[in-house]
Amino acid sequence: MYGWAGQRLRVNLSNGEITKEPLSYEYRRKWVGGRGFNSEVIYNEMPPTMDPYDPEARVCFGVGPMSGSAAPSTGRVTVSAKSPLTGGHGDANMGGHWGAEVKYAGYDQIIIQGRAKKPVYLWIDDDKVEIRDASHLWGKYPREADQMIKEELGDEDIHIMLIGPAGENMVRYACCFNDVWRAAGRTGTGGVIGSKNLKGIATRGSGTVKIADPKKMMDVCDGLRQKMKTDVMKEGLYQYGSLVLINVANRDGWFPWKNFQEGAHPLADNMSGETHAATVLKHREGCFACPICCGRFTQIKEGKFAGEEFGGPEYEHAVPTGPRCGILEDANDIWHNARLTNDYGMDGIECGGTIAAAMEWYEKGLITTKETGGLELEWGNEEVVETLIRMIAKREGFGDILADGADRAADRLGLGDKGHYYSITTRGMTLPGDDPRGLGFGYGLSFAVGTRGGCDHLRSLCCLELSGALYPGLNTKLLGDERANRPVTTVGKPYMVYYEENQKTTTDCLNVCCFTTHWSYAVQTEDQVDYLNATTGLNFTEEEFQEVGERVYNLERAYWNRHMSGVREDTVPERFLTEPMPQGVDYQTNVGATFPLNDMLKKYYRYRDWDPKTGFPSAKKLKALGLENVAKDLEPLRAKYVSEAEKKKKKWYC
Amino acid sequence: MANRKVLVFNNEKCTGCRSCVVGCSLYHDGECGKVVSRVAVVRNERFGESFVVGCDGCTDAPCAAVCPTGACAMDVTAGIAKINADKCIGCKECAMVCPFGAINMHYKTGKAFKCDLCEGREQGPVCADWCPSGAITYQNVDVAFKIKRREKLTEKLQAAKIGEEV
Amino acid sequence: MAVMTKAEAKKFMEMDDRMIDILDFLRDKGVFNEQIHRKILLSGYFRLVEYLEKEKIITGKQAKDAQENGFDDLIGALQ
Repeated sequence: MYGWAGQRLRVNLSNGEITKEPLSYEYRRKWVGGRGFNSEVIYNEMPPTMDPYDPEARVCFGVGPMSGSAAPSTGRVTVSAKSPLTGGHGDANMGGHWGAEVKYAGYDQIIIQGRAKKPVYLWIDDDKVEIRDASHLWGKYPREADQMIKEELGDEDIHIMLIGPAGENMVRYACCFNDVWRAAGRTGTGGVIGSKNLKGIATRGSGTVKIADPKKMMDVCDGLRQKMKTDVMKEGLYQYGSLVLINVANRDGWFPWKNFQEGAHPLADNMSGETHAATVLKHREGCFACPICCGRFTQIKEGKFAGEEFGGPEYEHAVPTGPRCGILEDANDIWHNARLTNDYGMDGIECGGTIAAAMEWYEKGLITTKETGGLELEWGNEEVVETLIRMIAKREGFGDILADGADRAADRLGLGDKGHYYSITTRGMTLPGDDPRGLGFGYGLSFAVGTRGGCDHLRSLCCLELSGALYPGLNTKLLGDERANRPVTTVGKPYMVYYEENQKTTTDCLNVCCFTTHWSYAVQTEDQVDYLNATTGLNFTEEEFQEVGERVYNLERAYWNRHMSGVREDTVPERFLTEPMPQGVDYQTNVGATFPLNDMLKKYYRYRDWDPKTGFPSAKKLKALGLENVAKDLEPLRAKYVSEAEKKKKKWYC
Repeated sequence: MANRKVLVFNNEKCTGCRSCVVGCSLYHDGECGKVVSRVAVVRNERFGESFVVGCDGCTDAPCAAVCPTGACAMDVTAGIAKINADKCIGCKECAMVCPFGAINMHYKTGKAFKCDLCEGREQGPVCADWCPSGAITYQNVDVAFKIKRREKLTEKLQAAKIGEEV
Repeated sequence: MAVMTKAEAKKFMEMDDRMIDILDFLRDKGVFNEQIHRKILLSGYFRLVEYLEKEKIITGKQAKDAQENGFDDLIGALQ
């Protein structure tokens, strides 16, 4: 079989049953792989009433037909589960090399269900699959467990998916990793894995990916890699990592300062990619088959954290437990906090976002040291922030409340709507480090409607509105309007978000890295169709490619609708709608901006063919996508969603 | 010999991405995988270390010296030892004797296979061509060392803050 | 070929985001059917220009300008 391995592995940890399920051509053509396979399983196997930590909950690891192949950046894995943070559809995506290894071992997807009686890890050695004792690994950081498993199995060259202590403690935003540091950060899949007493999945694969047309594949991949050599985004990302965005963020006013009170700060350069490279960069890292290699490895050289080292951080990983909490003077504090969230194994974005929300509650007098157990949550207080990170990971004291995420914490503390105002979330998920008043109106629109919890830049990653400007003519080609290539304009944004969301979703089904297709636009949709067809021997068109993304996206949306989440929840934190952006630096470009969501949301619904009364996909659209069963599921729920009883329920999360 | 081109491996620059590995396997075998690659990447992910291991193009190649059938022999024009699969009996002696571990046994044939500098490829070896960081380059061997000397000198001079141009 | 009036064109020119409105308009005018509408919507603006050129609704020169300059030129060509 070309491209795919042709089977998925299902492991039931309750009874130890290990099954290999063949994947039919029809299934592979319809869902393609990765996020597509995962979302199909979550939708069909996890009823809305099921608790995310239920023993029968599924957690899926999906790779795609391109995984392990020579196309640019093919190591990625999608991890999907019902999110303990939002209560709705959750997934995350990690780079590294484990994804290629899973494919080489002979699997397109791994589904874990059930709960082991005591800690275990899975050992997949090609077709041999074993459930092994992990009691000695429980409580270990991923870097420690990685070493111990490799020694135990006698092979330093295997690849391992692991959770940290935060996942074991079921922090609602715990995450998982592979190759120690590459994180599938968001939506709390780490806690679902931990709830099953699963520490990790070690994998060794001796197979290959079969290519239908090797000569064509070589031509396509070679052409793309030659293009990448002189690509301007590649150069910035390779040299400085995603931290290359810090100074841009500061200039354009999307740099998250003090829980998004402001969007720029004079000291932002302290943590820029350029400063990082000159002071603490130990190594540049690349995920499997990547021509960009934006990964970092950091070693702190001075100060009280000297000697600490870790893989990362990304821009999004560094800002939340840094400037978002008011920490910026000493960048080593920021690197240290990023190291902590990695070692404990939790989403830096949600962790920092929750702490920042608590800091604003404290600032505004909504909580005092009575609730915090004596901790003075003052902006920029590194000792308090790093203490809270540890307490959250261990679910101790005030950390136990924050470990549930800002909206649940607000409810546990009885803070009401005032508290939720500062939680900076949509559907219970917090914003990444991109203030929509700066980056940007397209990003902001996709925050409102995103299908893994709103506040998520990676559902559309509509960088056509930022790096798109580095590719003159691209916005014209796709959207018909070059003016869309700026973040602070509504021009072309509803169509941009629709197009980019579909494109990104299919990219997640192939499981190649979206930095090659968003951020860098060296690889475009027609190139992906070329390498997909050269690999699989099939005849996808660009339309079918985009349609796969549209199908998976609508399936995920319908899963939310089944949880009674729809148009009323399609919003962004009120701060961005009503508070004009203050001035943080004199060269800031977006002073005074607010985010005009409603100008764009209605138009976006037309692109999606979602009923504006409910925000549910129309039955016509679902049927056109081959989702007849989904249309049936939603039929009785449309009226329920707009009933008076339902409207009364304020839904911060499901 | 002065004009001989070789693969030069600079581990300080290796990012561990394995673009070389996957390109090599596709180019030679028409399928993608580490097991059919003639170049390998070794990583210590915990510490942020990665190393590329390929054929160093020994002039007095031990792999050729130990081969009992003459399957592995020096190709003087190409400047590298090559394996003739028809003559190979799969004894693994070449793989065992290579100081770097750059030779492997093919899962389909059981025979040894190694780097042949992508003989016939106009742009030269795929691994050097695709490497994003310059960890693998394909260069004239004398030029490679001249460049290395200047790089090292520049580093030293910059550290001592003496002058700017060497 | 004129498929829209000056007034209709003015309305489209003033819109911030035009793709769905123009596609719906052209479908309702009978320029293409639902299937083509869907295909173009999924693939992007360049497909719209390609289709209109193929069906000789716009000339080769108009298509070239529309591909380079976007909706502003395309709307001009459709008036």
